[in-house]
Amino acid sequence: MKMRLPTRVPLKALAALVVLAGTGLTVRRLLASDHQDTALVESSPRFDVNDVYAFPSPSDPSRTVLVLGTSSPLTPAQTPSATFGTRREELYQLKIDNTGDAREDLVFQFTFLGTGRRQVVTMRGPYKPDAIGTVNTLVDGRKIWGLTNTIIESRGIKLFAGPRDDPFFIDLEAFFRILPDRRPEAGPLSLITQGPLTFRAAVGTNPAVDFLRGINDMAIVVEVPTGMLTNPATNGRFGVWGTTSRAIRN
Amino acid sequence: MLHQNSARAMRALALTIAVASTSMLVACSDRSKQDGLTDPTTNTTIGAGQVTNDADEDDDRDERKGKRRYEQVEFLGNPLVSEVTIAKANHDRYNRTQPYNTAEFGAQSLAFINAFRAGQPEVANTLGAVLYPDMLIVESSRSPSTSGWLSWALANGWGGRNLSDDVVDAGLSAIFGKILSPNGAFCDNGQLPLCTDNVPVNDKTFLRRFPYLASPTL
Repeated sequence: MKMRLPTRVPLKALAALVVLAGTGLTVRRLLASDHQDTALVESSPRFDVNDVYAFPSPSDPSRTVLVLGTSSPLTPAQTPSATFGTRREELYQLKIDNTGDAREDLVFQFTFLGTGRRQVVTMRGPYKPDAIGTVNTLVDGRKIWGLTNTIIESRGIKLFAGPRDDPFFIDLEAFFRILPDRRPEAGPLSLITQGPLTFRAAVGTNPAVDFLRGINDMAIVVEVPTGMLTNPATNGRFGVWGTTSRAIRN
Repeated sequence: MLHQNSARAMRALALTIAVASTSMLVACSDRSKQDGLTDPTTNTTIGAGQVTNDADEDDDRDERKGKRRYEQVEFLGNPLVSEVTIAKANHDRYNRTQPYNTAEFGAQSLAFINAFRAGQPEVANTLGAVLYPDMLIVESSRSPSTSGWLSWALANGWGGRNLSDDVVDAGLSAIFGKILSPNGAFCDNGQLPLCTDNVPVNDKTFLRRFPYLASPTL
């Protein structure tokens, strides 16, 4: 093993990172910014929130697009049979704080019915939630629904739920060479050993590679007029996060 | 809140992200036709209420005795925060919290960063201030053209997170690079060995039209 940063890298700090990295990680947990990061979501990838995005609509900057990415990594072979968790077992949500207290004032709730490739997606919101926090119920009110893998439009809202290219990108192999304790338990990546403490050059004999090329996720995308999310009292400032929740068996 | 020099440097990075995002958009517009949606456009577009949702109504009736309750098992706001800076053993607990978890987890994130930048506490302090409470902040009164991860704090921007944002390089450069402090840095911002992974863009071009994410590889 050849360290190329011996004089700059405090070994104590690296050791701390290795310890923090823990053991027993699999490749799937690190495929995107937050992929499969616990045992629970690794065994049930539909509960895994991989990434959340919020950006102005490229076609109409007065509208905001929110994205909740789940279930990555899906290979092309796995994608046709991938589904969302049904409402009897799972609730997907995007939450908005527009009062500045880091607590949700509005929620988008997404539920699914059917187990085949053609599921029905139902969206509630943006509504004030029944309860703030980590135990939630479906809010009563008008719903928007339609088939997955189609663009659904209603009352100025656009909704899509279905397989997409995972928008995240990272040289995961290089990451594991720097931090081999995070390598997977099985497969080629599990054989990676400690390498030099550097990512790879963009070009050359061993160039950087986007490990997520050709990998898909199950994405929920919603576009609304930005005014639906904002609060004049906070000058249009709001916060966004995504959650998945499991039905409580009574 | 931000150290002045740190703020200036972060602004430079955020602008870089914003410019990169804009470039991506231009690239998309040039190629919008070939990037058309394969699946949705080849299938019938369904509007709300145009398909029966009997199953949903049946399920509603099933719940007459009381609403089904759901317990949160996963939570994500900012990219990389929990994945990189929170000990793996604490991830499940983190995932069962909400953005108002600063008191418990903000300290853990700071400790992680300070393990590398012990002599430059401004690095951890600045990152802690912009990443907690852990949610994507949008300042929608600002120009949408300035959207990008953390641009709300660092460049007087719209904030949020664009699909094209290279959050890995941004995060690496903030922790290991000179963005927040030139002292004790391991690399120049966006440069090897540790301030870039040299994967600057997604493998597929994002769409200019809803749903923006590229079609799946099948």
